[in-house]
Amino acid sequence: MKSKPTDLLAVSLYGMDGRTHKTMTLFIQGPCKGVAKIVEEHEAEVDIIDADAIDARVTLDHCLARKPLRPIIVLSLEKLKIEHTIFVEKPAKTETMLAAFNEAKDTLKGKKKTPIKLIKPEEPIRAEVKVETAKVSKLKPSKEKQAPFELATEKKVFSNPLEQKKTAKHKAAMMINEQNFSSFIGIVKGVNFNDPEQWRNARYHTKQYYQGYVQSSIQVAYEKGQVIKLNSGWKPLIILPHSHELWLDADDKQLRAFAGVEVSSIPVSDVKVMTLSKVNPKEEGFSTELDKFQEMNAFVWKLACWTSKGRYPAVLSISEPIYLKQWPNFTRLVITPHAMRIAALLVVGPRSMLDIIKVLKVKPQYVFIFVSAAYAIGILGQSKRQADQIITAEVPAIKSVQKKSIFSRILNKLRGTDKT
Amino acid sequence: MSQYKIIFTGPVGAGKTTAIGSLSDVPLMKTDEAASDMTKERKAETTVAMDYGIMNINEGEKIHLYGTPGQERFDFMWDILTVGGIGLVLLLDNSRADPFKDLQFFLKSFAGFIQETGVAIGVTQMDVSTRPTIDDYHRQLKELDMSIPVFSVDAREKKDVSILVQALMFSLDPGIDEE
Repeated sequence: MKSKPTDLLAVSLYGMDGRTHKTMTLFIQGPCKGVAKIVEEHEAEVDIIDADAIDARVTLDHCLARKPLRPIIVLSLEKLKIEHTIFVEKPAKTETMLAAFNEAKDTLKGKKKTPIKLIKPEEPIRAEVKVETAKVSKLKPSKEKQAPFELATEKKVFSNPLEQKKTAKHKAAMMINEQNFSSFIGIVKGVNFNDPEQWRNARYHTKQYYQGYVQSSIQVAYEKGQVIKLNSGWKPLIILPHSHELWLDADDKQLRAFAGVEVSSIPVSDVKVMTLSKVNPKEEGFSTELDKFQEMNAFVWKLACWTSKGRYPAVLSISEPIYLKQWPNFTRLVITPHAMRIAALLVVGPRSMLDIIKVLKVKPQYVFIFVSAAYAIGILGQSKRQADQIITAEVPAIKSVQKKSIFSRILNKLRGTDKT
Repeated sequence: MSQYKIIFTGPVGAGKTTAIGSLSDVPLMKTDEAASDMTKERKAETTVAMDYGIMNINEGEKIHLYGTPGQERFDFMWDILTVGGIGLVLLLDNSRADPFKDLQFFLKSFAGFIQETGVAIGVTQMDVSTRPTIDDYHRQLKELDMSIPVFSVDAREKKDVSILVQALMFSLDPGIDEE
């Protein structure tokens, strides 16, 4: 028995040229007859995207942002694993396509029962953010961050000139030396870093600052796999998890100022507006202001630097070993004084902040700020292994004094010629 | 006076010649020729012998910057080139078909030299091809039990190449005085 027309799944096609579109339409009208029908974008229940199209990433972002609850079927020659999508390998076979439609139908039914609750802009999310912040801080070192958009075979994502321009503007590294540290980063009142007894007090709770809210929101955006806006009562921040970017209508000076303000010191009426909401790209109009996009890690790193101001995150102990999972991508980050030395030391093996200060003979605030930034982007953590507390990795021994000297002179040359 | 070298290696078109040019204090001595084999699909000219640049550090002391020929048929030269080298800069082109294969190939080819010295990896063309990501490279390296610097690099940007070489120096000795 034929399905009633009303039972037909309304699908919309994306990323297909005229010929492919026609072929797909015939395929749906023929072998898949009675199951689905092609409709206009606004009428569709399901989106079908050709992931081999050069602008597939943009299309997917668009679909996710516009209708987060709408199932998406992704067609590709390569096997793809993209969260919240249904994959069909090309050439699409009737069986697999019908199975995908059934899965989409099930998803639609499931979603009708238990819709994903998005926080309305008017709804304060303070309590929820706190929960999410706790989740961030509990991330274990062994847990690899799951990329929500695993396009392993994707080679040229940003093919149109607009996207290309956006990517090209990613900022290069900025090197901060000891002389301009205070002017660029800021000063913490109430802590005398010259007194080792006060080092333990040089800590801060990320949750009490904008940094904590941003990190929690990023976590939510990744978990839901959708574009989210953080309304902070300051400037709206849009998080784009699929391209690993953020959009903020503020310059670095403004961000630096806001980063240092304790949220608890903001009047309650203002805090109320710290909310998360879903984003409609068309309404927001953010996609046209390309210079305001920032790479996620670069943004979080500098935000952590400006929040820390030379303090360390309170969740970490300065006397217990910390580990560094990998070198930070320094060419795209703010490089604080001695950051590269600290990274080089930590990748050899875990050691405590106090130990790093002693071994490298550097001021504590340089160690603390590096730790804060690396912790914020998830590449640093407190070591839990007992063995790390007993065995501290040795500093790699340099072959000869002569070589040490030549390395130092090369560094001086490089630093002298590329100061910013 | 001791002679020190930094070796730049990587596949064809990864930016070795450009990176050396970014750091060199003298005009680069290039041995590029019009590519006649399949290399020409990636760049019109390719380095057939080696690139050479100089970084003057002080009072006549020089650091020699050598770029290996990108084509594998010249790999017999690599051992000779690395003699006296203080470290390796590996540049990888993210837009190539399989950058991880390149990564493994070069790490294996220079394994002995890397063991003796160190390596820093610069990934170029990330604006053209955003995948694999820097994190993906680290995951690959973790499987090889290696924790080495891997940075996004625009070989035309002196600052990028400089930071990469600085990281190489620090990975050789974190105790070097910075300022």
